[in-house]
Amino acid sequence: MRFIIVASACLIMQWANAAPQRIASVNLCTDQYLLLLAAPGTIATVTWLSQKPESSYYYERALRIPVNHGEAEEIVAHAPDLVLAGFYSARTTTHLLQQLGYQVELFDHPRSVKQVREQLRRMGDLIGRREQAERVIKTMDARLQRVATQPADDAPTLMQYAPGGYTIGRDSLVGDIMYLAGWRNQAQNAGVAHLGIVDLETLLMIAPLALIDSPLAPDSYSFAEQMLKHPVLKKTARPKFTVTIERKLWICGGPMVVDALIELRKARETIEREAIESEQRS
Amino acid sequence: MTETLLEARSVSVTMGSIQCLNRVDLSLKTGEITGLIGPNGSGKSSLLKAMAGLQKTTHGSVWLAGKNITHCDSRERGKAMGYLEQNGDVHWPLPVKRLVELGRIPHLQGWQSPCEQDQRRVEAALKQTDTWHLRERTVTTLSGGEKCRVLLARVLAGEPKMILADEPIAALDPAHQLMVMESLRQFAAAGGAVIIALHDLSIAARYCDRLALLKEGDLIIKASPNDVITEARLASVYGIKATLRRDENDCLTVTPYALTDEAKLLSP
Amino acid sequence: MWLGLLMGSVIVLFFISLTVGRHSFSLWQTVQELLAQEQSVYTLILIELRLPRSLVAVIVGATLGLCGAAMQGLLRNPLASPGILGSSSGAALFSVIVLYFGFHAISPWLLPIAGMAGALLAIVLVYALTGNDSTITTIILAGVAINAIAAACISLAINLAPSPYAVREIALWTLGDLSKVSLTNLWLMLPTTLIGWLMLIGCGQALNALSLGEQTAASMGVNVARLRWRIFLATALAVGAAVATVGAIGFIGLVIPHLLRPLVGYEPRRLLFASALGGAVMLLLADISVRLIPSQIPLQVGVLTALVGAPFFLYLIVKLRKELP
Repeated sequence: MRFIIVASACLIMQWANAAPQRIASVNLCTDQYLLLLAAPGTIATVTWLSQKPESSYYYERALRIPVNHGEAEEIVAHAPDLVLAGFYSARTTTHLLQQLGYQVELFDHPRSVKQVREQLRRMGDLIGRREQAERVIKTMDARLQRVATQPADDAPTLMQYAPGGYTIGRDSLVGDIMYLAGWRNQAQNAGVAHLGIVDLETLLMIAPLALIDSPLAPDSYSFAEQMLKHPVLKKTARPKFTVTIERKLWICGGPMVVDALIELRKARETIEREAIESEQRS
Repeated sequence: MTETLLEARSVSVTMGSIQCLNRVDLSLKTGEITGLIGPNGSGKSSLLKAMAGLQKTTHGSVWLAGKNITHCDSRERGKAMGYLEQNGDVHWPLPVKRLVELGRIPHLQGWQSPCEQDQRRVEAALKQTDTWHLRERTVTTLSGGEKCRVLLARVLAGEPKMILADEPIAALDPAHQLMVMESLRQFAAAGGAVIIALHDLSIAARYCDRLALLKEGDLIIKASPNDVITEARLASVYGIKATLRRDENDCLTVTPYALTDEAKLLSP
Repeated sequence: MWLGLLMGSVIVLFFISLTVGRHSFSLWQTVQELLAQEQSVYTLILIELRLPRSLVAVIVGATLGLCGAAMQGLLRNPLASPGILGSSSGAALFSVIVLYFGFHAISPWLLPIAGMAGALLAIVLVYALTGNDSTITTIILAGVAINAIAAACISLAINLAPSPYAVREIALWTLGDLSKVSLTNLWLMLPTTLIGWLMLIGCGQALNALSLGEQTAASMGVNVARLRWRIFLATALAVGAAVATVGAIGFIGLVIPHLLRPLVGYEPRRLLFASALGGAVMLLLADISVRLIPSQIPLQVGVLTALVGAPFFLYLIVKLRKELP
């Protein structure tokens, strides 16, 4: 038994020198990188979430690829020569696959646009598509150049308020995009740098001008989601606006985050215009 | 002038496949103590429950003040009769005074607390049963005799027109037995009607105006104690030989001393 | 005397509960703002967030205490309570199904009604399993069985629910949580709760009579069968509405009647009102405590009531075992 494992591990090492041909991914975000960069026919399997249009930006490309639910059995069945996984998801699966001698590469969730760039390059290197990755980065940076800005001191304030009261601080991809779109992130005033929970009382106290909402399916119910529909949010003067950003635009790293940035910036400009108009009226 | 308060007309009770009572006629009159005697399982408890309206009859009916008891308002029924359960349990460690107050329930609305008049009745009932000194005690700390008298006080506090008591003195010492029977006699003397199931034939003979003898659900005879208790009947109904002695007041004392020969054959 | 003390505690704790939160501000000043009809962040926090939370704590606590007292009186069993007998988890199960699968979109009133149906089903099942003169053991066993089935079904239902957030909320239903209630929730739960309360308050005299056993109670004019259904229905109405709003908060219905029984002279009728007050006190205290205990993620109030209640339950079992042959 041990011999077989060592032997297969050796084989895998040999293949690793060439570009991997059967890549498996057990994380939605590594899925996205793969679907963006990989050569046709080299993806063995992606997660089932990647076929969902609400969470996966490249879901159309995933439709033809076999899906997995992050279980080791499913992955082994594809005999992959490279396994991609997130730091925190499917931990038992990645441990098991590592013990079995598969090459497992872990990606943390990017915390800034800069880290997205680094991850794209690393992914390009891993799957032998560095050139492809550089092209994607170049286009992305060119678009960023045109739209990215920095919040002015009197810029309007924004806060993400996800089901359960979760909010995201400056030290995160979403936070970075909010910053580059020229919003001041109010999560900071609640003492949240990366990820934290803010209750409704605190939300009313720090009173951001707008909230970011990422809608779920209309028939979806939970206490967590219900919190966002609390009647007090309709009565208070602030938060006054809701900015809706589709989840698939920024839950993972990739060039699509620029789309999120553009939408956020447009929303800010509209709100600022409205504020000026109402001031002129009064 | 005596008046019929409660009347069982041709009452039968069946439980499962067992016929507990078979077409029994019996009436309770004011001022009278009716004793219900008969061996275990002869239907004494069933008859009491049927007469209290607690047991459905399979034939015949029970009449309370000219009305079929099944059509009576349950509150009116509760006011008219006090039912003393066999080994009556008390489920919470209530203080004696509160327990006796429960007897006033048929007179109270759903949310009413007992008023002063209720309190006076409770006091009287406690004194009548010689339990006044126990009023602050918890019912769980009472002896069997004390508890029995307190439960009787509960019944008396409700000022019923009649009392239906199911072997209330079975577990008591002779002195307490006499005390309870005296209380019942007082109650009857004041115009109430009593029906009481008894095992002690001497006490039944001494205190009851009439006796009803049951055997396997049949009412064998209802008459005065001297007519009901005869050596022949004790032999045929109870399966015992007993000496009967009459005192100067024509009062009967029954002392069983042996099983009859037939009964000996049946016993192991 | 005790009733006055309890009532005073409810009022004092209610106001304390209004002042406890992530942010502190002057209650007095805010009330003045309210009277002057000015709107500020503080008035919003007070009226829309803290007031419903405190009111719901009072109502749910009172419901649980009252229903516990009524059930213990009816079954003449000191271990009967909405939590032990499964009505809470039955209500939680039905509410979960109505909520997480979108049935409440048909009508929000379906929620308290579903809670009631679940509670009623559970208690009738336990009653059918144990019968009338059940021993403590059989009642607890039946309750354990119903609770286990309901808990399993809650897990199953939540795992199948469309919402990706649902899975994290199993504990909310099995322990109970007051932090997310709004005035809307309060209005929804109020009608069925009040009907349940009114139905129970009139039962006092009959419950008193029942302490002498069913036969004697019947002889005093109590219709025992009708009383049983009335209490089952009333507790289902009130507990169902409470659980559908805040989840199954445990042990209040068990602990409170027990603690208060000696103070009211063991009289079931007086225990009803006292337990309602006592339940409100216990839940207010627990809810104030969870907000005062510093923690990263808000604690659930049911954690505290269970921490207090479960050892008490064990103590009761040991005590009853000693008393019984």
